[in-house]
Amino acid sequence: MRLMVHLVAGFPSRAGFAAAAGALRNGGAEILEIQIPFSDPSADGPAITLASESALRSGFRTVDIFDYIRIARGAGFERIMVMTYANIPFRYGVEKYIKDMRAAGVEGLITPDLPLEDTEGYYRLALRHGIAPVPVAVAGMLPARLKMLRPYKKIYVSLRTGITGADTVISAAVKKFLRGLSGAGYEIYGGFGINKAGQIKALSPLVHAVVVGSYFTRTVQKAASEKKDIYAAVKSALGKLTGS
Amino acid sequence: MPEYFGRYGGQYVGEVLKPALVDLASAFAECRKDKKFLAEYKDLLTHYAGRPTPLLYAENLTRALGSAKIYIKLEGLANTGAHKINNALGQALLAKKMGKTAVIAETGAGQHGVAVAAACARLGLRCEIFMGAVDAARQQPNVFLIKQYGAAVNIVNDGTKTLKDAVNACLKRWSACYADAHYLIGSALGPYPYPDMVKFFQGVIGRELKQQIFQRERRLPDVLIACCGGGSNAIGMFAPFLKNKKTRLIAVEAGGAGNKPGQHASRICRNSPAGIIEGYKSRFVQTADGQAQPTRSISAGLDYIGIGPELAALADSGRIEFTLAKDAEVLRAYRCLARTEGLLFALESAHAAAAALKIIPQLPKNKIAVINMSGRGDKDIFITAPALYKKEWLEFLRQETERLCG
Repeated sequence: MRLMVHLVAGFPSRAGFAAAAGALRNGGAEILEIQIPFSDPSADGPAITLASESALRSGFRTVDIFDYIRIARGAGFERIMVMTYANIPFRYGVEKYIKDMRAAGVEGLITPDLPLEDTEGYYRLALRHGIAPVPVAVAGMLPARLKMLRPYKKIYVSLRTGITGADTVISAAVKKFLRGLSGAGYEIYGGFGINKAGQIKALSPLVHAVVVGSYFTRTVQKAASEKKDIYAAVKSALGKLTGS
Repeated sequence: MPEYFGRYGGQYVGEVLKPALVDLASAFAECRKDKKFLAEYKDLLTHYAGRPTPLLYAENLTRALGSAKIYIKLEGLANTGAHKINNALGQALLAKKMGKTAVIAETGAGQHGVAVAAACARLGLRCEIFMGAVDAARQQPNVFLIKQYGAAVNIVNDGTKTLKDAVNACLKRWSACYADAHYLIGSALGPYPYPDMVKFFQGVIGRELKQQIFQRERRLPDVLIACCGGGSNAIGMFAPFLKNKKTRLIAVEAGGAGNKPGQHASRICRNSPAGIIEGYKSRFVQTADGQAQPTRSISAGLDYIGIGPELAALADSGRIEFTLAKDAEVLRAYRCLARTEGLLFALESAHAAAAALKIIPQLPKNKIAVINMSGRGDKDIFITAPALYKKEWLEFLRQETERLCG
């Protein structure tokens, strides 16, 4: 199984982030998705929203992301994705954002509210500068919109409608959707609300990497508020998912 | 592209919401031309909302200022106390035609929430209103009213716990429930088709006004003045006049307590930059990095970071002039209109009145100006009374508390 794990930059602190990243890498996670905090994260649940607010209150600035990318690399991550919302690259300058991320060695960029119609030129420019734009797909997308994924290689699939809580029921429709994308040659990162080993086991054969999002943010939040060791807490949380 | 207004607008949402917006845009495109739908909507406006709202010749104010002839469009007389009902009824009816059984909506001051809850009760739709915890705390009377109409109130504890956070919460919820539910946005903003749809339903203000003023004066007005938060009453009043270049259109933003960041809610007058937030591109009160900044206004309804994309475009092109009114000026205008014309303006609408008191004295006598009283001020008693009547109000609250805790 290959995991893409997620952390919010600047949360709970620079040192806390470094500890969490270290624990995730040492625990076997292959890809790290770092989220640039944004004040209005319209596609995130309460844990990531709170973490983003906390990082911003502590003074996080967009340029600080490059420091966090270095920390992640120092922790041993060779594969790093950067996720955020449209207003961050828009204010930073879309082309400069892409170039600077490329120069920092980032593999892919995820910006869920920049639409596939590419009105800001983000997808086009990312391709041109040799960094993967990673569109977010959902099961049930209409064929006309599925076609719009063609220029891209790596696809993030949000499975919120496919996985139902503890029972890890991956519906036949979602399985078919994932198989269809893999069959078409895409590299699929799939997840949404993953927090149990059984879910990962069921999803692994269908995707390039299983995405574990807010699970670790919740772990970090709990450890930080209880003044416990973040490295140990994250290591143990990851162990529960991977069964090691 | 049709979903853009100049360089603003668009549909900046995740793929998960795309089908909902596509369905909504096509349903709206059909309904706006459908005679049966329009007849039903008109019937609701006439017999339920109480339209047409009067256009009052403000004789006393005209005499007091001694310049242009002043009219006031009394939107505050519509059922539920503000123009918000025009859009709430239109979208709720559209939701019903689309086969939806529920409506979700955000509210800041609570006026939109009240209008939506009432419209849903009238049309037999389930209703859930999202409200930031800070807004809910300071607008408890409206929370109560929303519940009286049978709607559920969902308190949002994210971010600044105000309107923008309620919008985000609605977007999140909608992506999980759009098969059965319509998201009823209250201002002329959000991803396409909302800006167009809200303009269409609020356009009744301007269409009526055009007829009324023509009947009275046999000509079009020279100046229209409306307050502008998200901008639904402004674009609704201005829409039928956009092509009449001789009519000056003036939108009034919330100047708050001062010019510094965090003290106002002005996008245009304070040169807030362009951004992409909550599904649309427009101008937002934000930091250099693009993080939403806290806003402030004495009127909860204008206390919002964004502005409708079409209004931002019309500001860029110069077709709409923007000015602002500060909290203190707003309170003065509120008192002035109550005393001269017997009209209790909502604090939002009192921004338009405050600007009018400065602008109208500079106009020649043969001009005609119209102020939009978008809402009435009864709802603001918990803001206006402490500001203007503090000692007595405190005593009253103390007595009431004692009596209730008895």
